[in-house]
Amino acid sequence: MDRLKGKVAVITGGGRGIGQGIALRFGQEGAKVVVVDIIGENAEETAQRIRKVHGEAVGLRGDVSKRSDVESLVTEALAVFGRIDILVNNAGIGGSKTCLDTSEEEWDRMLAINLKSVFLCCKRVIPEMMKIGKGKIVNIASLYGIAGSVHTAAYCSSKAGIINFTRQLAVDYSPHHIYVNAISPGLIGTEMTRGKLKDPETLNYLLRFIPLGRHGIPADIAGAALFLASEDSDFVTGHNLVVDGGESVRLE
Amino acid sequence: MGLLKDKVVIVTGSSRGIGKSIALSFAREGAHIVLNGRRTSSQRLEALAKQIEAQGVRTLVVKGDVGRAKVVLKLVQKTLDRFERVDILINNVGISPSVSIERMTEKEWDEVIRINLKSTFLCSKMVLPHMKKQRSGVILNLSSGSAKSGGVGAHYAASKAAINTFTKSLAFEGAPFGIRAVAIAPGPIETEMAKSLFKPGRKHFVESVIPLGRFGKPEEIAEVAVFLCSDDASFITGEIVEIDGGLNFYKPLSYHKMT
Repeated sequence: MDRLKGKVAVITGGGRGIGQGIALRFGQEGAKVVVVDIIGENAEETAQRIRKVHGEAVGLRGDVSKRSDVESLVTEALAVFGRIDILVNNAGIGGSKTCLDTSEEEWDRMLAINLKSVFLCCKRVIPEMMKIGKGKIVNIASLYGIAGSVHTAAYCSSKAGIINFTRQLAVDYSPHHIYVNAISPGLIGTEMTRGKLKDPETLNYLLRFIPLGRHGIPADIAGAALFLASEDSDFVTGHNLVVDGGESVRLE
Repeated sequence: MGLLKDKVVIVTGSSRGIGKSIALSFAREGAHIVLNGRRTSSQRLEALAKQIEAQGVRTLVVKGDVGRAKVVLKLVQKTLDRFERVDILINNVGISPSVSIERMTEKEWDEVIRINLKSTFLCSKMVLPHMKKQRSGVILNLSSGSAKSGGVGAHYAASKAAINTFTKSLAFEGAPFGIRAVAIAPGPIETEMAKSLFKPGRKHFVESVIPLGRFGKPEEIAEVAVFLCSDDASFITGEIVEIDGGLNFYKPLSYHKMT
């Protein structure tokens, strides 16, 4: 399989969970992968797994909510692979609080890590894509970006922001053949959701809302990300692709 | 390639346009193709079948109007006789006459609803029992951007909006059996159906409100269809994918800046 052969892909939050699933799949498909994570060992471990199979990859530590970190990460990625064709903005944190319980600091932190990071990475990487004359950006949003839910004030807001930022980028950078799409995962089994999923009673309750009767796994998101990063999606831009086993069908 | 290796796929309305492109792309990925056309000559469908078989897969041609139950019955039965299963159904057939509501006759309304919507119902209804037995299957419906936006051809837009809702109902009913239902909603695509959009002056205007600045190609719809029917999309159901170069979400408040 070589659907991303020779492409250089930067994946933020690639040290585990969905980001790791995407990184591993892109590696299998022949991409040169830059795995970025706030936990350096996790980034390196994912990169090692890609290299072990056959691919090329580097793991870099960095906090993508900070401009100086984004700058040095991109500089290093360019030093290693010379270009950036694909950017997957996946880094993010969860959080479960009502509006009244959310402190100003917590709000700022959530919006910085989940949304500002997407802005900073796009701002730095888009000019590199413009030099090549083409690029693919995939932003990981969430079902919580299109629906409200209990106790998720800051998280819902950050993810909704990603979805409309995606559309806006698609409009502005279409003339440069930079395609920008979002993926909204539903319930996916990762470190972020482990707490919810380990209790069988909670799990069964949650699965009642998912027509396909199972929660997703990182590979489910990786398949969608591969499609949006490949040439197969060259007339798709600004779309929010929902990957949720049908959970949101009842939202509309 | 081989994302759809040995899958048996029915594509309604596959003699030209998007349906034909889907048939060709699916064959490239290793699927066996059941071709269907309503008014196309048998020679034309057979020639397409030859072209597809050159890719090393098998084909079956079943002519007829799938807006009629007995044609669908025949289509599904012949598919099973030949391949013993049906993995993927693409409800693609459709017509799009351009006529105002005032001038639209009752007969014209009924015909569009029958060919676009009822065919989708009939084909889905008749493949479902077999997909249930297999405990797997994908049904992909061709909708349209006009499902949300409306358009000249109110019957067409209404039929496509109904297809969106039908897709979601189908997703619910099929999910417990591992059957996924999805839809593609194309915007302006370079096909015969959209040729009214190519009139001088009109084409430039339409392009100016599409962020990607151009019409899509049938092959670009086909590649999205491949993805949605492949295992890469195994957690996607009930989703309607708009493929329109960004037309659906772009509000051209300042579109002069884009040109």
